[in-house]
Amino acid sequence: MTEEHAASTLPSRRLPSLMGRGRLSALVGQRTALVAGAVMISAIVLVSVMAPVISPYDPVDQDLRNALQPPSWTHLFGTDNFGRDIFTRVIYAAQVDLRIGFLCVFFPWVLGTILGGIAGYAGGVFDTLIMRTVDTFTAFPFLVMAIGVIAILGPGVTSMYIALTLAGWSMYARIVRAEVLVAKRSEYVLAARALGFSHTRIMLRHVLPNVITPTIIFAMTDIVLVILSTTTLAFLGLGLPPPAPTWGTMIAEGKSFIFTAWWMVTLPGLAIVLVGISLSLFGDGVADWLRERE
Amino acid sequence: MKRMTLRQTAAVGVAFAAALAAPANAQEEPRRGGTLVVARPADVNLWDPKYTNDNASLWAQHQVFANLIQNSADGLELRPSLAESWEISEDSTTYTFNLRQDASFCNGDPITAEDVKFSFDRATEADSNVSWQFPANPVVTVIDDHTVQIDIDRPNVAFVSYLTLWGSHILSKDYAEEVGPEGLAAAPMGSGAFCLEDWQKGQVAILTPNPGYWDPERPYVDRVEMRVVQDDNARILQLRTGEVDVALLVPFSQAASLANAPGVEATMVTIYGTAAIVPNIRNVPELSDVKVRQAISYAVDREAMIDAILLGNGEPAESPFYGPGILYHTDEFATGFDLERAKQLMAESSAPDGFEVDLTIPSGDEMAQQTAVILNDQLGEIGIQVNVMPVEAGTWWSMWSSGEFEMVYKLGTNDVIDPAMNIPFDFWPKDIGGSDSAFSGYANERIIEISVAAEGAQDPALREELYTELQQIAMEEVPQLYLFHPTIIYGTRDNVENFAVFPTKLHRFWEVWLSE
Amino acid sequence: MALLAFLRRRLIQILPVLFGILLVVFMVVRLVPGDPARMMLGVYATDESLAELRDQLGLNDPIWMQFGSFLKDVATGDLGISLVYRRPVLEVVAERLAPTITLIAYAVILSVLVCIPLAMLAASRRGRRTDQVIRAGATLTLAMPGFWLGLNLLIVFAVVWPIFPVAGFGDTLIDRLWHLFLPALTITLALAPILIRTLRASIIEAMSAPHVEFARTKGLPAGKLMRRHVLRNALMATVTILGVNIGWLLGGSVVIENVFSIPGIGNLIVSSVTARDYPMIQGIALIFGLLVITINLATDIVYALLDPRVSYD
Repeated sequence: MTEEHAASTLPSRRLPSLMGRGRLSALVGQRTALVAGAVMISAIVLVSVMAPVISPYDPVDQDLRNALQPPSWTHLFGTDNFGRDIFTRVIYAAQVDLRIGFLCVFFPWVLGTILGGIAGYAGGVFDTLIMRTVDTFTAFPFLVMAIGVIAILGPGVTSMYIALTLAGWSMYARIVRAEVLVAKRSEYVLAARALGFSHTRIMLRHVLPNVITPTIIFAMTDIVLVILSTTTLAFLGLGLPPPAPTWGTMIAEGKSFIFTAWWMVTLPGLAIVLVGISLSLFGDGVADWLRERE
Repeated sequence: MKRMTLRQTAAVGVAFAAALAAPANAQEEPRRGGTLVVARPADVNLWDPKYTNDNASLWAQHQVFANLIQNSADGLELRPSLAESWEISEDSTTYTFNLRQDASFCNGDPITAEDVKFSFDRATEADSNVSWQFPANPVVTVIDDHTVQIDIDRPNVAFVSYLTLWGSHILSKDYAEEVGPEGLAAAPMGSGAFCLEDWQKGQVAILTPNPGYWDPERPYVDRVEMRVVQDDNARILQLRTGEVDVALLVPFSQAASLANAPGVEATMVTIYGTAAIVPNIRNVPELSDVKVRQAISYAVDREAMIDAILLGNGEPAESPFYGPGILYHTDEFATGFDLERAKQLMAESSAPDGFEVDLTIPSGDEMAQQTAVILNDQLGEIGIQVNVMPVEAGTWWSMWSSGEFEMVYKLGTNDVIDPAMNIPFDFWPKDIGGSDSAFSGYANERIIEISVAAEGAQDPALREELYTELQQIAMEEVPQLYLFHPTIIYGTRDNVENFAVFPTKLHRFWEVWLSE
Repeated sequence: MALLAFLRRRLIQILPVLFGILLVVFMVVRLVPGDPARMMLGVYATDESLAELRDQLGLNDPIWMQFGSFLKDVATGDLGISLVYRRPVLEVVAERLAPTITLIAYAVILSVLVCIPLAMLAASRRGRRTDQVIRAGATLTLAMPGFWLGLNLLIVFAVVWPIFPVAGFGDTLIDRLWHLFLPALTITLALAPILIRTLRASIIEAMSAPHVEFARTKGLPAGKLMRRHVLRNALMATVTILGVNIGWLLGGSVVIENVFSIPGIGNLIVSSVTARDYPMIQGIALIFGLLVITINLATDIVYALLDPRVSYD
């Protein structure tokens, strides 16, 4: 299993202690965190999109005569065993890695919200069925699931989305269900029902807007861990096919060279750390802002 | 050991006298005693040869089980082992083995003809992983306590060489019946040079000499510790610090540094194995065009590939046979790197504008991945866009064997010196016991005719002639893109004498002694 | 009484979850392309021998029949024989689980030893430089992928300064602690940020609680105050965090085992899937699920014992 589960196995009643206090945002001030995070992420995206302008090299072209060069002014991060410029590969990889990371949070968020909403609102058999399924997926070994899904569907981003959605949705379902149970008993829902509004309308117009905020707050803390998970899968050989660069595969390829070419492992990882910190800042800022608005 | 080009024909139809192989280092008298510590990349999975198909297990089983016969140290001749002599009938379909009277299992029970029959019968059952090592349906008959007869249903000259493989290890019938299949997997009853004393799973297996081993001279050491050191770098470090005496499978990136280290020696062996690409000739129209396949073969710079992937430690493939050391191998029909010729062949082919093709490789296999990345680069030069598709290893297997691929990477090995072993797999259709030419759908009537004739040909000169023609046809028609024969590297400390890894990757701890 | 009723309800809930796990793993394993017969018999197998073995393994039976007999075996505690190791699945899993659990226990102890003092320090210097440094450090290690961190620890402490071994598991206890230090440290550094954040928050909460404030004004020594009121809260939070993260720890160790070459359950999962060792994959999923459920349950019980006010809903 991956880091992603650190958060997603947390039952909701224990969440506040993890999310509430002691965050980086408190350190630099809420607005500052939000702005700093947003600026850093935009900068990373910009660099990645501008990669062809920034770097004179191609991310997949081989130059076997210049293999395994240490970092220098011609090759900022050095070259790998095929003589490819590591800096170029790192900035090209950002696009792919960020997209996968965001979507691997988005899909579980959607699925979990829908199923958790149904479980909480409908109750009864639906509730039992969905919640036992949630428990099953929580206790299922993530790696068996990930390898299984990727083996069934073949390599590529789609398999990655499905594997991470199957692993991540259960936490969102738990949060939403708990919130819906509270909202269901609230006066405005009872009033709406007395007025004879349809279930769909009550659900979409009255319940959903009230339960969505905590899930976004959770997603903001989840996103860092999900990005780490996707790179972990790539490291295990379950990522995108070569020669396309991703940070996880670059580190995996560098593993057998750690004695002779440390830069192949260390430098691509710094990109992940940088993204992790920017997302922490941004996520904390957004979460605090949402919490304040409530 | 690098590049074995000695060509010698396997002696058949001859009864061997019991003779011991002389130690390679003849001036020096072997020294007895001591503990040999070996670092291996993986642990034994199981001790039952019937269900074994991983290297780590069969290398270990090789130390504790003996066969009727064994290879000579250079791999070119067959030598006695549990059988002190044998006779082969004129038509080479009946083999009679005379067992030694003085060989026993680790528990002291004598090794008898019943044990031999039991072992062969068991290895050829339907659920056996090793039944492929018994071509031509052998039937074992007990003549008396120390004589067995094996009959095969058609002449097969290579048959005896299979008897040196792990499928023909001799097990104890009594022990097997006592402990059952799970007991056999957990602990062996040795018939060879060593007995298993202790097995701490995932960590170490400890071997001690079998007092009943047929050769009173061997083994020389008192104890062998086979340690599991999964990490490539860790095996090297432990060899350097002297924690271990032998490190198997040293990565290429470490070979140079090991060569300079004091007290340590790195040795290279080119294995009987070929990294190759199998094109799906049946389902991909472009690949069914022989001109396209020839163009691909000329467009590949094998030397550059060996330099990049194996850091120079390998041999370019110049024949469909699995290495220069294989019997009857010839490099006469090799295709070199010639980009102009490749472009010209492409222009003349049915796909002059190039095409896109998927190359399926097992994920996590570094050699496969690097090969694929280089092919993507090199074949791009002649307009072929190679899309690398790494899939989980089990899926790779499944896609390949069911024919659901466009191009697939394979690393085939030949476990015996005779080329006959892989010919049915590489060139025969399914209906005569092949695999549709490695699942590519390629079929050439002349190759099938030649190889069937060569299987039963008693005369080595005739076999050579037949196999030379086969290699010529295969190099012309490129049913597979033969790339290179990889080298494996192992490291030994200076006090380790007479340790060798064969091109089949097998090694023998019973031949090793430790000098002062 | 409430505790007993709670326990009974939780135990009843476990059954459908276990059934769910078995159903999912059974389906996933069979949906994955490739069959065990082909993996067992290897490259040179003929179509006839493949068909015969498939029949022998019961793979030609209807899928519901296979699932039925699988459930029946599991109910009697029989997880089957591994197709690769040819020994009982339970036996092989137990052997491989030992190193993994040793590693996790080591990392957990290390984490507790590091995190409780750091969290207390941060909480008592709230908002000051020390607090800020500790929290910034936590955010930094949270952003590091475990495999990358492990590899870098190897580069620094096994290559540049060869203080620790590169790989292996060790023989004696001391030797083992020595060998497992870097991998345990890697897991600790991943666990620490979560633990420190939670602990710091819970300590601050506890210190500002009315009864603690009261005790402080009554002049109870700071050390005693910490031990009696604050530490207990901190321990509860620790148990919770560790309990709910056990699934992640078990699975996350796969990557760490891969980096440090430890013969644990992680490598077994990967190799079993590759070999299509159906009984083994099914057994691992079941035992894994049981472990996670049991530990979660145990956490809840410990939680309840530590804090009698907790309600069971």
